[in-house]
Amino acid sequence: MTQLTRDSTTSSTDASAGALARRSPAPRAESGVLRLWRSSWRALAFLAVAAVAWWLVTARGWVQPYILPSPGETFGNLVEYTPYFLQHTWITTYETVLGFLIAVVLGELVAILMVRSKNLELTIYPIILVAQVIPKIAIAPLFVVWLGFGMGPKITVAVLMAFFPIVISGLAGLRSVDPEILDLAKTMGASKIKTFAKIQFPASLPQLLSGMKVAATLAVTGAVVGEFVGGNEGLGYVILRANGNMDTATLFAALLIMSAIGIVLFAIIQLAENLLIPWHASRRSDGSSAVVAQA
Amino acid sequence: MSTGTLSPGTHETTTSTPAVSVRDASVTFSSRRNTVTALSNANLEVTQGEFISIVGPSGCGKSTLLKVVSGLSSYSSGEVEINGSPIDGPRPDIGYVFQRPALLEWRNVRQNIMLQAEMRGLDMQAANARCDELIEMVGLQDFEKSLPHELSGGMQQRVAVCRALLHDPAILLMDEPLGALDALTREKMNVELNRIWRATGTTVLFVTHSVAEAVYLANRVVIMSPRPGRIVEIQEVDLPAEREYGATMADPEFNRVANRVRDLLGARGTQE
Repeated sequence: MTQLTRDSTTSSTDASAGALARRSPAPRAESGVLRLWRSSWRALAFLAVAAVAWWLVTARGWVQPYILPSPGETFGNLVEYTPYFLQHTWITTYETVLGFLIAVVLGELVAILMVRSKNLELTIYPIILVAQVIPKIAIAPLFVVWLGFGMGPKITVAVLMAFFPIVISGLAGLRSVDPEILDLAKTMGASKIKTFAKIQFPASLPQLLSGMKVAATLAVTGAVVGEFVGGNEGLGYVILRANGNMDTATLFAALLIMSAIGIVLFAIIQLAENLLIPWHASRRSDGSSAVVAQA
Repeated sequence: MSTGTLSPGTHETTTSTPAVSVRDASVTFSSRRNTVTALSNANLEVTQGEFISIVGPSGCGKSTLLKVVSGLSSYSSGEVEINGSPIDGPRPDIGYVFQRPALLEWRNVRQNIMLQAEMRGLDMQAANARCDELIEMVGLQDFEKSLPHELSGGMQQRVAVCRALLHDPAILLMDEPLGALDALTREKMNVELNRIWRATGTTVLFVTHSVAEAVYLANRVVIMSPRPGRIVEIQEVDLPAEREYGATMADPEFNRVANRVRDLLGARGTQE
């Protein structure tokens, strides 16, 4: 028992230092709305300025309407043909999300295989690289030949676009594990599956998630490229048709929706980051990584 | 607090079997150009509950010796046994503390310690109770829920020690665990390690660069020398198990051993 009391005195200075490190950066309880406003007002302000400029340029008649439709015309178009846009937006969103999810699963699986076996890595990596170098838009017509005019080729192009960043970031993430921690797992007699589930996979999440952000936006592009090449539905088809009719208002409306899909997907992954890796340095707003640097 | 499981003699092996027995062990690494002998004909017998410090300059094979005993590295020749059974592959009955804390960033203090239990598939209830004791022993009660980045270096290393002790290992292997700490924290950790060792009765192999630290903590100090890595001498430290920072260091015995160690290291002109 005497040992314990001595311990509490020896560790007290350390303890207070730690408490200080924790207390100082603790943010005051702030409502979610306020926090969102604090982080996004700059972007919103810029958007507002851009919208005003857009309106001004068109209202003054400096640019012909068939080149740049006015904001009123664009949004009016959106409202007027809401069911039409909704139908095609749904198709494109479906292709994008499905393609993205398939790419995440496939990409992570391939990354795991490559980390597992050097032979497999040396076999697969060059193929993936070659596949990445081929312009997706150039092979999209081929998928139409192979898979028809349905959603197949669109989803395939979306998968191909999103796959590469997932593999690369997944691989980098799995490689980023501290070798000492892997040695530690060995001294614990841990199975490969446990080591993967409890150490390698969680450690790879920060990199995997940033790869997923890139992949999400590319998946939208992939789906739209697929729609350009063949088919009669989706926002890519809407754009092609509006282009043929010189209907720039519809074209702009479709563009706005496509950006929105990409942004929403991006935001969902950002949210996942907040939930999954709050411990990571990139998620910490308090600069407490300084404590680690000290150690 | 109950000190039941922390009391000495919890291990089932008889005291007559050496905890660690290294006989004529050699480790060589071959590359295309040359062969490096990391450890040459090492002989060491560690009795149950003993604290052994291993000192020597870089490249003398002290970390290699520890890796061999842990089963992380294989040895080229000789025999290495733990509690009478030869080593083949990583051992379940050891605890390992690295130079860096090697904590999982996303796990809090308790979860990091409990990793040991999860990986080994130990009984969670018993492990949790043991975890409570260890956390209290190292004075981290108020930080159970803290993440590693919220802790100081000394606190992180204490978590690593708790993790290594959770499964009540027969042998605790420590590879320069205090090397990255500042001098003041290091002194405090020395006092604490001595206390933990007395409280648990675990056999400890402790690698360090610091002569004072080695002598302060150990029953015996193993002095090693590089090229090829080998054991030069083993010095007995004839001091009581409980060490007092100031008093121990003023003791003539402490100074005798420390000076002898310094002579041996200095005489070879390779001390850092």
